[in-house]
Amino acid sequence: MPGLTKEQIEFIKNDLIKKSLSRSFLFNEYVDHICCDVENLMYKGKSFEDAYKMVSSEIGDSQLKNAQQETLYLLNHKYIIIKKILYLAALFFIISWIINIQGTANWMGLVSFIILSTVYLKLAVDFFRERRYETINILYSVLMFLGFVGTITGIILIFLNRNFGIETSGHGVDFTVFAWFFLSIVCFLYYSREYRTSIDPVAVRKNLRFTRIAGFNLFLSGLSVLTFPLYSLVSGYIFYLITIILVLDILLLIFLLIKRYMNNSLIVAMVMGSFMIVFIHSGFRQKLPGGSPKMHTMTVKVIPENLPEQHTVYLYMYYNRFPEYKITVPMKLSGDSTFTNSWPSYAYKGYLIYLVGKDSLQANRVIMDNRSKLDSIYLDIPKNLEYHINY
Amino acid sequence: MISKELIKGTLRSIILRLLLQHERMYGYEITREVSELTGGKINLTFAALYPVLHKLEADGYVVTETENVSNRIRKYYALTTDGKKESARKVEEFHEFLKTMEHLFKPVGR
Repeated sequence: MPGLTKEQIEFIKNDLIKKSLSRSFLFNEYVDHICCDVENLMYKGKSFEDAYKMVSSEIGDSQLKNAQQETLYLLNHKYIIIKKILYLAALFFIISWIINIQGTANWMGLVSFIILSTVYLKLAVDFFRERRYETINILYSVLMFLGFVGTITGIILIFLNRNFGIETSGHGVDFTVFAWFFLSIVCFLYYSREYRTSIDPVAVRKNLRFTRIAGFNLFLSGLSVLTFPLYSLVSGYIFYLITIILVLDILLLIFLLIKRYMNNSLIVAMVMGSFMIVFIHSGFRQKLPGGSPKMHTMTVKVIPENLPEQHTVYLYMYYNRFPEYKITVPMKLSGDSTFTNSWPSYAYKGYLIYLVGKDSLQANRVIMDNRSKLDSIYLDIPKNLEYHINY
Repeated sequence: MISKELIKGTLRSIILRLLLQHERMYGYEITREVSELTGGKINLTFAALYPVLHKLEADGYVVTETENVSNRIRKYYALTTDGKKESARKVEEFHEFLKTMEHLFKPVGR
């Protein structure tokens, strides 16, 4: 049977592209199938033009489009299930912050992250199964798996630390933020590649949008990772970074909903994960009913009772992850010569009490001048809740 | 011609059965083979064939390999070990189905 010339094949390809029937994974099969049909008719004596006209009218644009839609449905319906699982994770997460019956909020929050992590694991397995089509799927699978491990490990550490006071040296935060970083890398690589290889204008537009979203998320997650080594320099700006990420993620989720992109489980899982991970590390959660952490209250009774005017008691504390950066905070007068202060029990590891001054600077000066005394009054949370000091 | 509704339910079995009899096949070859074997009574449409082939691939029942043939890319489908088992199972299931249908539709004596 005579084969078609290169020019004739190009003609068929261009005609299909004109009809926007060029979704990459079916395009080559469209071309080959039509070419075979045309060759068959040419073998029976038809000219190329007549044969192509006959095949085109027989197959029809609608049949080609139907094949495309049906294929996408059959291949994607598992992602429709993933979408529902992601909605479930979101539901648990939202409930965990607005309702806290008998301290169940933290458990519901944990469940929401376990559900989200399951989706990451599922996506990692799917990429691995598809390794034979594209070698890069192995890389996606490994990064997704790291995202899964980071999220599940991090959230369990945070949960144990905040609810049972187990010392985790803040590694829960590290794990979750690194997980988010890995997920952003997968998303960016995946969608930028999809963008480069798609031909269908609708797919091109969608993948370009997703690449931009993933790229921006990658940038923000990268900045968040950098805050670890540069904490002392950037600590004052972390609040702004968190606020930007949370606002952006909410806007992106609304965008994905409005544009009916929720079946694209990879991008949705990443944006949801970004929001959930950043939100649990933000101060905003404390303003919600389910978000108040277990508080540790310190009470200091001063003996003798009369302090000089405008003087107060200061706590000299350090955050559990950064013992080298100590802070000085004033205590509140809560009764006759009694001072109290509360802070999340997971946040600060050690504190030193010192009775001094009108302001923290003066308090610091006194602390620095009396370093030798400080070790003797060093306390470990959550040992003493009430402490008597002599002034 | 056999109606689309009847073909739709058995298409997966037809493709698995054909692939079991051949080392590998490409899409157009499958439609031609089915048409020839059934004397033109079953003509697989483009919209029916390719979604099922891709689904079989996604399920791990077939593997594909692409080759450059006559200046264009041709995708061949071949059964995996799981695909061969699934094919045998589908054939058995289909025979059972046929027996049941024969029984159900046998002429009723008056």
